[in-house]
Amino acid sequence: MNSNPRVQPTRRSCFTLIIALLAAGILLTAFAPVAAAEYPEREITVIVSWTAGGGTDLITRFLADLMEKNLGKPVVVVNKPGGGGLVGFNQIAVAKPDGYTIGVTTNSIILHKYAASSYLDWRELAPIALHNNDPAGFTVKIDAPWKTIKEALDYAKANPMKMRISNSGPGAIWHVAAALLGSKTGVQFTHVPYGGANPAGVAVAGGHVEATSVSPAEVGTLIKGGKLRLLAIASDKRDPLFNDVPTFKESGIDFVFGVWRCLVAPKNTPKEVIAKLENSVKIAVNDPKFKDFMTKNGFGQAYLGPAESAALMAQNEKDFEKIVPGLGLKKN
Amino acid sequence: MESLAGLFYGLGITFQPQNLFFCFVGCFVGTLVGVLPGLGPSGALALLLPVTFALPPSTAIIMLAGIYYGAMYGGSTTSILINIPGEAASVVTCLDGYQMARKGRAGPALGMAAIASFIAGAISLFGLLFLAPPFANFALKFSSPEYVSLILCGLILVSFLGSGSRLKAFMMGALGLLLGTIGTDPIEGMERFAFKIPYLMDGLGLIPVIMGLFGISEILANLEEEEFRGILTEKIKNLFPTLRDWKDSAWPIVRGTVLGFFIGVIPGGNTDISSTMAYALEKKVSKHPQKFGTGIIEGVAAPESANNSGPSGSFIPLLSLGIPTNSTMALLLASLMIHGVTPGPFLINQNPDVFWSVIASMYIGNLMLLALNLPLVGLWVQVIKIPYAYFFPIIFLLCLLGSYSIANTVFDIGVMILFGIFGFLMKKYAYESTPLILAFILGPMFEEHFRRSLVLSFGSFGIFFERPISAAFLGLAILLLAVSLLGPLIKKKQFEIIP
Repeated sequence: MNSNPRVQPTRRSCFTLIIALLAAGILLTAFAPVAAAEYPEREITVIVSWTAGGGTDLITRFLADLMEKNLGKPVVVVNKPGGGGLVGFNQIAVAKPDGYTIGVTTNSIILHKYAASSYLDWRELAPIALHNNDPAGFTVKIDAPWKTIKEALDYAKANPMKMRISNSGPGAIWHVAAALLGSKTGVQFTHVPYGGANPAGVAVAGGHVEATSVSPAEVGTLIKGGKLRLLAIASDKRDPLFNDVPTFKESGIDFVFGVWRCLVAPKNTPKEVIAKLENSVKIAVNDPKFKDFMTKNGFGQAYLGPAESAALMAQNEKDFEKIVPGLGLKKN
Repeated sequence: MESLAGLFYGLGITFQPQNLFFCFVGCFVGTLVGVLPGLGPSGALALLLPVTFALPPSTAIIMLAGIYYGAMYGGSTTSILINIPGEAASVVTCLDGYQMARKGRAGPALGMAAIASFIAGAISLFGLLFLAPPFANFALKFSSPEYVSLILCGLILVSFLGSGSRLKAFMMGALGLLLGTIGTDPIEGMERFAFKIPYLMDGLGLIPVIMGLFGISEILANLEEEEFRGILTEKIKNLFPTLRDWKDSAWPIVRGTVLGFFIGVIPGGNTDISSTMAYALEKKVSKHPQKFGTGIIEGVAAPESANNSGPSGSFIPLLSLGIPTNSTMALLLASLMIHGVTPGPFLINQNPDVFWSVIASMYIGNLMLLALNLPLVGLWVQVIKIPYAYFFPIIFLLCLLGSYSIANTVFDIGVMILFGIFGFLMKKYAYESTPLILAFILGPMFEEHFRRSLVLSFGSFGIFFERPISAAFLGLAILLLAVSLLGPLIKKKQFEIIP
């Protein structure tokens, strides 16, 4: 008797092996192309790099529900907050590029290069579709002396550093927005960071700062409640919610800037998979339910496909390149 | 009138079936937590926070608040029946409550504890109802400099009010401040003590830290202790107190309610302090102080009313200023933020539903608790009989799940376990966790407001003295500090609680 029976292959086990290999070969050749064509075969995970209950989380969950319907497979949202979004972004970037792990990002993916210690290039991620855009605004207290954006900027120009603009955090998107406005108009603001868009708006209402750059929707209740006045909006056209407020462009200032949210996949995800996902997002965002949801919650609606989204990211990067290093953010 | 209109608006929201249900769940879990030694309201809140993610903000806060004041009701049951406080705020209830039970008067003791709790809850809610809106209006004038001075007062009070050694409280406060500096700084965005670990870039998570300090450490501490089985076997009868009991308890309830309410407003004014002080106060004003500790009903009524009016008091600074005064309030703050609601002077305008429904739900919740605690006291007695051996693995498992589910990361589990072990050692060597937690939360707030003030003032420190409210609070802070430093020189008068 052999002391180790496993080393000695019997005729029967050889035979089984051959049959198994043959069967596997046939199965592979028969089903491989079909499998690729039938993406998705199983559930898709969407990584949200922020906590549950926030704006990005709410939109993504609503979107995922609608995508689930047209993809026919579960679309599961998982929150991976931390490191100002970096924890989640990294997980998307290193995931297997098979379309089963995707995620959502905002402009902050581009900003990370400047402020955070771990470098992550947005090119590590492949855009699927941009589905939301909230423009920056210029909002002052209701009893402020400036009735138009021109008056406010003229005052700021005449009094460098005296105009204090609140933003949603150091190096956050609205900080960059105000700095970008400053550089486009040659005005020097004093930037005052708060812990989010809401307290930034409250600071204006309380008269602690002169203005805020956060999106009008984020301070919508304060504007509607007669505590704040929106002077200008940084979008191409007027916002239906604030129809009487001009855009910066109307006032002769070339300032179009906002925070956007975009679904992304790992860099090497196959084109067909991206196309399938994009199509799914497109169906979802055109659903009246999605439109209702976005309007009700004050989120701006927008749509850009993969190539256009990538172009916007590149444009943002170019803008940030000029602005962000001058913001005085500490890089470790 | 604004308050009454608000109350009815809030009642309308509370009476939605979903909210009523979760109000009941909160009160039920709260009572359970109160009855069970080994898990206080902070730990329980931290555990159940993830459950609320899917709920609307007002429903979530209604439930979480229910756990807090529900625990205050339940805590008395174990104190009276087995001489073991269900949670820290019921420690002094043991003194007379258990003696009453030994004399065969467990029924009236339990009854009075529940009734005193109810009366205190109902009266103090009026305080909250009518004081919170003017407080919020006053707080509208607050900008960063005012917060700096106010938080400074708070930080001094936190270490001042501790029930143990003041030096140890200061040490824990300092440690909390240090832990609070971990993460990205609020003004320049620089990373501190993050060691390039992305999980540390936003700082240590409050919830894993609290779960460790208040959940895991309790389990560890209880494992060390021998299980107590001295439960009363005789049937509890006459839950309703006698006329004599009522007469004896009337004033202690009123005094306990008022005292508890105002201690709740003060940062660091935990419910364990208010119940202890209420007991001490009664002993001082009583005509027969020598009888305290022998099983008299005042010794139950006073602390139980104080620890139930405390929560109402501590909602004032939370809702109107966004400042938590104890670790439970800190968790409520965290849960509101998770739901996208920022507590502070604008809460009443921006989220009136949250503001008013929390207050209104507390009326309903107190009624539910009265029903839960009086007729159902037998049920809770049965719960106490379940051996701890069955509870601790469940609580531990819930802690693991809870700390993971906040951010879906194993890192937080590690943080929780680390703080659990640390908290266990703190308990063993009599260091309090409250100063640590409050400093951990108030420290970063202080820094943010301090540095923002200097941005707003273009670098001038005058901003803290020129503004009247800020200057007043600064003056108060200096006074407090002087008192606490000079205190030991003047003969220190200790509360004599244990006879």
